[in-house]
Formats: sequence, structure tokens, C-alpha cells
Amino acid sequence: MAQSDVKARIGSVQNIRKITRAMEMVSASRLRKAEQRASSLRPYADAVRRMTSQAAAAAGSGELQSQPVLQTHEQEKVVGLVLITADRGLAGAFNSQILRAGLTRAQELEASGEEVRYYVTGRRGESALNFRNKPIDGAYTGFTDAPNASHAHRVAEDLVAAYVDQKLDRVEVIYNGYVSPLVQEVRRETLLPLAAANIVDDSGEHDIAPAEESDGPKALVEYEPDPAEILAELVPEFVEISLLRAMLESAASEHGARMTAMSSASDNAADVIETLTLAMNRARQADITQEIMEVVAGAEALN
Amino acid sequence: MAVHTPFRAEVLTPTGELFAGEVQQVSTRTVAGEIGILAKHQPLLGRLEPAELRLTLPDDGEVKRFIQTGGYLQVAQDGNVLLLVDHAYPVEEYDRADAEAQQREADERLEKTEPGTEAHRLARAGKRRADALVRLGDTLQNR
Repeated sequence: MAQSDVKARIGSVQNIRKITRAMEMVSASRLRKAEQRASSLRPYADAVRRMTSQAAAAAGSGELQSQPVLQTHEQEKVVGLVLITADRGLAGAFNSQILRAGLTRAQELEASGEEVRYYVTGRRGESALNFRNKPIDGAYTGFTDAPNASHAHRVAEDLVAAYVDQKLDRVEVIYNGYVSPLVQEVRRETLLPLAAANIVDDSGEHDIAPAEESDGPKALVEYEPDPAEILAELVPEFVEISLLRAMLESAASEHGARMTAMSSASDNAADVIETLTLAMNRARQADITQEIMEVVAGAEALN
Repeated sequence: MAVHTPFRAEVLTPTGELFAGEVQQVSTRTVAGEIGILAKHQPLLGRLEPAELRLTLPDDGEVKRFIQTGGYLQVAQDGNVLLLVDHAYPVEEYDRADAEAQQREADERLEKTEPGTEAHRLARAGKRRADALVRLGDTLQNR
């Protein structure tokens, strides 16, 4: 390769490195914000879950069947899969691992005779599913790097409405759970039916203990309106908050994944620059040697 | 004003904690109507309506006022109160225009959905909340 070509390539790699560095910085600062928003939702989400389980315990299994949203459908035929992906790529395996998990799960379900309906957030997921000719019942885009309650509300309302109208018998969500800036893990949770959802608390410690766990004499709990009705309102709230939590964790994971991806891209660019610089120096040295030899040869020819 | 036994109250929203600490009294509104909670109240789980939420602090009896747009109220066995509010903000930040915009949006949704479906039922619930929020603005103004 000629010197000038190598020089041009070094220049372009340097530009790429500038961009990946900038993207890394942007992701790092957005990550902090996303992480904070995810953690400020946590107490609320835990409380909604606790209240839902309290109301469910109080309503009893008989009354659970009185409200359509609380019913477990007799046959589980249609499963709604909610895939939480990002609007943008350049974040390593972030989007592809969700799609892979989603498609694998869909295959499992289809193998056992169930029908899968896709709900997807994020343009990446939407276009990937379109490309594979998968039917999309709901696509929600344009907010994945900073989702808020109204976005989650829209998705939750569609899902709950489809569930109650018997268009879906089960709802599962697949998202990137946030572990640390460097680590994301694919999580799958069941949101509906309520009986299958994980509303029994797993994390233990709470400042306000649910009624059925406290010791000593218990006062009768008053409900306004009655438990089944409260539960019918709490379930959509539970679905919405669980989705919001998934979206916020996914947003934090997205920035974390992008930060990591861009950091290794910058490192890689530095390596490429080093190799190219070596190659350029070698080419320049070769040119100089060549020139000297030509001069010497020319001088000798004159003598 | 009489000083009542203080108890612990927490107000949580999806964006974080709005209030946590000792209070003498919590006044709010559930679907069953206005409710005032003092220490050692009977355990309760209730659905909140859009309303003014008043927290009376201990000692000097200072009252913190918020607008709640809906949510849930829980009085635990030990008498501590937990309020889960979808959205809450100080009374001074009530925005009439915003409430009316929400009302219009709720109307549109209601028109778009077909009666008899769950989507319609949810839209109606949304409309009821939006109406209550606008009505709340009237009561605040006439004070």
C-alpha cells in the first residue's frame, strides 16, 4: 500500500475513534440518569406488587374469577410476547440477544401448539421482526432511551384490553435486565394471568409488612371498594408498572451495553491506528531506501 | 388545633419518594369519599381518586398539600400509611390548561374505542379521572 493511502486510512480510523469516544461519553452520562430512574421506581413497583398480592389473598380464588382481568383462561392458546428492544443499534448484542430469546421462546410455544403474538418496543426489534415476517400486534417506538409512565401505560392498556377480550391468554415480557454497566441479563417474566405472575414477593425485607405476615392479633382489613374490584384496578397497574420497570432497566442496560461496545470500538480503533502507523512508517522507510539506492546507483553510473 | 399521636406515612410515585416521615393526619379521597386518617387507624386498602392530599405534620401542625391524580392507599396492621400515587405534585403547580388537555385526550380515546370492549372500559376510567382532575381545579379556585 502506498504511503498516502495508509495516511488516509489512519485519518478515517481516527475520525471513527473520535465518534466512538463521544458516543461512549454520551452513553455514560445517560446511563447514570437511566440507572437513577430505574432505582427510584423500585420502591413503588415493589409496593404495587405487595398490594396486589394482599388484595389477591383477600379476594380469594372464588372472587378472582368474577372480574375478567383476573380470570385465568381455560385454554392457553394465544401467547403475547412483549420484546423490549432499543430504537438504535451500536450497542453490542443488546438487541440481538432479546430477539434470539424471543424467537426461541416463540418456537417453544409453537412446538406445544400455542400461537404467538408479538408486541415490541424499539425500532430495532420492530424491523427485525418485520424482516422475518412475524406478525406484530403492537409496535411502540421512539422512546426507548428514556421511557416514562405514559409509554408503559399505552403498552399495558393494549395488553390488558387484549387479554380481557380473550385475544390473548397469556402475556410474557422479555427484556434486558440491568445488573451493572458491564453486565445485562436477558429476563423473561409472566405478567398475565395474575395467577401465573410472580406477585409473591421474593426480596423479603420491607418497611410496611403485608397484613398476612405480621404477628399478634390482626385487625380486620377494610377495603374501598371491595378486594376483587381493587384487584381489577391493581392488575392493569401491576402490568403497567412491571412494563415500566422492564423498560427502564432495558434503557439502563442499553446505555451500559452501548458504552461497553463503544469503549471496545475505541480501543480497537487505537489498535488499528497503531498497526497502520507501523505499516506507514515501514512504507516510508522503504520509499526512502529505494530513493537512496536510486541516487547511489545513478551516481555510480556517472562515475 | 389538637395535637394527635404522630405516625409514619410514605408517599411513593413512579419517579420516586414524594414524602416520608411522621405525620399527625393524612387527608385524602378514595372511591368511597373523603377520608382522614389518624394514628392507629383500622387496616385499609383503598383506591384513590384525583384529589387534594393533605399531610399534617407533627409539632407545629404545618400542612403539606399535594395534588394526587389517582393511586392506592394502604394502612398497614401497625397503623403506618402508604400512599401509592400515579402522579403527584405540590398544589401550587396545578395546571388548569394541562388538566383540560388531558380531558380532551380522554374524550378522544373514548370516542375511538368500541363500546363493550375492555379498551372502552379503560378509556372510560381514564375519562372519569380526567374529569375529576378538572373539577378539582374548580374547587381549588373557589377557595
